[in-house]
Amino acid sequence: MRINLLPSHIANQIAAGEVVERPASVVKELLENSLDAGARLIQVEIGKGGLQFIRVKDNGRGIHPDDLALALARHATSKIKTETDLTQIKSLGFRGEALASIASIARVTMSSKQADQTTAWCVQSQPNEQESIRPIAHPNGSTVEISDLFFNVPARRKFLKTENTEFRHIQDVIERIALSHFDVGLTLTHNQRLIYDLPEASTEEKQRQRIEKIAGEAFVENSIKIESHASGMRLSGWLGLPTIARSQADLQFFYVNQRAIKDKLVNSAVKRAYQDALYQDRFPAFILFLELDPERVDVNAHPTKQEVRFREGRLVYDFIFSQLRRALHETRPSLDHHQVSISDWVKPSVPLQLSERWQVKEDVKPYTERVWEGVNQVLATQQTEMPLSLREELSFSVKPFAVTAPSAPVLSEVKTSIPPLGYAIGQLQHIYILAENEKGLVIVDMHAAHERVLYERLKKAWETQSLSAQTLLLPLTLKVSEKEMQCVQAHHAFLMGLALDIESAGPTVLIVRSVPAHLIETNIVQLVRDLIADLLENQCTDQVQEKTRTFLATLACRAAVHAHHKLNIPQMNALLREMEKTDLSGQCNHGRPTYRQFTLSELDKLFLRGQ
Amino acid sequence: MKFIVSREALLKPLALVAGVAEKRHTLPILSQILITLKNQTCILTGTDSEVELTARLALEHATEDGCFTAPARKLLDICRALPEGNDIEFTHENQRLTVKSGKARFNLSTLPAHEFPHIETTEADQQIQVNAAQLQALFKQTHFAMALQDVRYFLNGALFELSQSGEIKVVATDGHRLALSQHLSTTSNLSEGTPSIQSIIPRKAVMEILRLFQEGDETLTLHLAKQFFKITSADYTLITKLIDGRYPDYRKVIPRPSEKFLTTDREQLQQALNCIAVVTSEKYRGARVQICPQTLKLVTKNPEQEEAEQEVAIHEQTADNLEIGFNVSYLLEALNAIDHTHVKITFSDADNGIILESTEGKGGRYVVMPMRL
Repeated sequence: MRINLLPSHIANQIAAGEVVERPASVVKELLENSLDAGARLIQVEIGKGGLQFIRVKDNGRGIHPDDLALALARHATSKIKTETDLTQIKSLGFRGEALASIASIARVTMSSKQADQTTAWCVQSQPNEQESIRPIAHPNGSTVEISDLFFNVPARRKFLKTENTEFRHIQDVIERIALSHFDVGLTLTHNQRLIYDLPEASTEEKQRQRIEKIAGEAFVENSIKIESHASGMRLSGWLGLPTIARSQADLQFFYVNQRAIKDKLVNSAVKRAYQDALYQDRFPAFILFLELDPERVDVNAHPTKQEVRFREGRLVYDFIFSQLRRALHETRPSLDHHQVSISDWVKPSVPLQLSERWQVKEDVKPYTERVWEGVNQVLATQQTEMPLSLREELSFSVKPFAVTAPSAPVLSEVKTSIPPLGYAIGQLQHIYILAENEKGLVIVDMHAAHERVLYERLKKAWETQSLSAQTLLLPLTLKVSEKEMQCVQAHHAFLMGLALDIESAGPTVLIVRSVPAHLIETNIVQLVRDLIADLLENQCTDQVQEKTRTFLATLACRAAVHAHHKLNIPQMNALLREMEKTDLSGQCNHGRPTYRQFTLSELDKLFLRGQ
Repeated sequence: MKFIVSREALLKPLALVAGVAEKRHTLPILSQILITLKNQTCILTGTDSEVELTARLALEHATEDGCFTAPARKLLDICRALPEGNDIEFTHENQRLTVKSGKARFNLSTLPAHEFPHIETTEADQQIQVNAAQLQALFKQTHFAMALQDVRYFLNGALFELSQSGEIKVVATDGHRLALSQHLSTTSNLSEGTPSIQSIIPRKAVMEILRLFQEGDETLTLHLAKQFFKITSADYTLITKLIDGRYPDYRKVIPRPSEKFLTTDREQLQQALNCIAVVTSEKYRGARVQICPQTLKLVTKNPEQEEAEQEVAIHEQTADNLEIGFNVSYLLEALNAIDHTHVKITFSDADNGIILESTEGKGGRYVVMPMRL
């Protein structure tokens, strides 16, 4: 058998197999081209889930008439020129393969006009046929139309799902891109029905509307905005509070330099940051953007660029983990979602109505003051009695979003007479604490809240002391593979630090001679196995810490006040003050919420007041 | 079938037998007890399918022989609630059980007696006679060291070993400490050269033995076999299945004899440990023990950085200058079980276990492993 060079159309089909898996992949490639061309408005039209046609129209730079035919050729691109460009890719695409791959499995019509040209040109291509170029009427920008996808790849066509499923995938692509390019307007039409109309979102208010359309109202109302820089990296975005964690990992958007990715490293960093705060097997919701020097990340690791490689993986992991953890842990009652949601993103109708009321007192209002008025109308109705100190509080309530960096010491700046969780009024059935704050009613699950307070305190105390080791009278033995054995030997000192004295007793037998004293009742063999698995996989492990946390959580749970325990008012107030000081006090150790805020306006609705 | 029994005669055996019956209803018959009438004797049997306890009491008025079952818990509660001195009349007819006493009358559920499960016994390999109080002591001195729901299932019980010389040893360990007690029996007839017999008695059976023979100086017959362990007294028979497994070789884990030892007053040491244990971490109660000339210094610390310190006088010692950490609970449980005013502690270094025992050398011996604090 001799070796032949494959004809280019076959090579292209093979390449297409990698890049174009389903109609959604075509949409992704075309959208990325439009974005790379600097488009401000992109219109996507889909026919029959993309099986009939896909049309992407943009108002970007366009393609020079002489390059039109070349654009469909393989390895032809305007995005990189030299080898060094590959190490610092700033555009979404760069390989010059997408259009060529698509053209090898579908009919492609591409029209384009550059601003300085007088006519628009159109190129049509069919696999195995010569492209023809003709003039056409077209505004500045490009339109790419794909029809008869996979017409010459029956195998792929057979594996496509129903029209609706394929369209759902396209919708996912649009959503992912829409959330990372707020400066670009996007429309999506399916079978002539407008699905998404997302205007350019330059202001925060418009961004909120876009997020609400895609991620839902619950997310915008229960998320914190974060932004932080460190060691040349910037992490920003919105972090869903543990309260709205989902049963599926379907609301997780992570972007590296505006490119949507699904990365194991990133996922585990986020998961760890949410540790201790999620209810059972829930998944956090987030939209996060990581920006760093393109040189420090390799995007050329996966055909569809869904995975990336970080040059300093550990650093990125630590950065993401520490920033998110800090943001979550520092979410105090004063910074809670109601405040953020209402003051940060006021619905347009509310400020208008309120500003009219305010005009009675004063004419000029800075933007920030206008915003917080959405907090509740009731305050406005009591306006005549509004004491001066209240104005200070209200302006403070604006601060949390004005200073979005989680490092901002919000609480210490605040001079307020009413604490965020208010003062206790009484106890309901000896289970819940009812408290009154400036916004209305707070209901606290006292066991859950006390549990978290104790748990955080125990964790702090625990961190300050070293682990005690119980020497075993009957050492435990376990069989391991040689690879695992090497791993244990390499990490011997680390394991000793965890109070685990593990020695080898043969090429594949380990002996455990001492274990952490507080974990003697756990299944040590299982723990050691899990620990080795972690060490092999990630070079690090927090199995012992995790078990320790479970153990501390049980201690906290047992020590916390139980339901049907009578508390007096000073005791309740003391608990509320403790909660305000405690990390993650919005959730108990198991992720259940510890308190709920009911604003006066919400209560008013119940009684149809003021309608 | 009908019989009458006085409340007082029934109450104690019924309470013991009902205690063995299963409390959670997975198999309904296990929450019932079997009542058998035979030659003017009433035999009560309760089982959880691992341990079976039978009590015998003589009757004055009984009609024909036969057997039936009755709900263990309810019957016991009824007997307890009835006024003292009452007689209780049981009638079992047409699958119905009626219990009458004074003006009270109960109709209780009953299941077919032939479905009641018995633990199969075979011919015993070995039969020995022991004094009840001595057997009781063997288990009392060791039971607390048994593991509780350990994955090494064979540790969730106590080892009963009969050596060729007729010596009985009971050993219990949870992997961190070990308790051993021994007693010389006189009636063993193991032939020359046969190895000793080892049976692992499950935790529940050990607890039942402790409840069963609390008082009395009677002689018990023990039946040792591969599959079961049986104790018979005049009024009771306890049969338990054994834990199928190989018990670790306890001789290997008992530290080698060391020249270094000290003796001290048991109660003083106990009191001191109880006292300083207040200032320890809730979970594992670690304490530092410093062996100095003439004194034993005990130091504890907790996560809140509080500290406690107490000294106990040493009576006699062959070595000093050692600091070693322990779980206070392990030391205290061992000291509680030592039945003598003075305790001898044998030690070697900070990495190896110590042995606690009475200065007389009688009773239990306790190995406790150190803790690195």
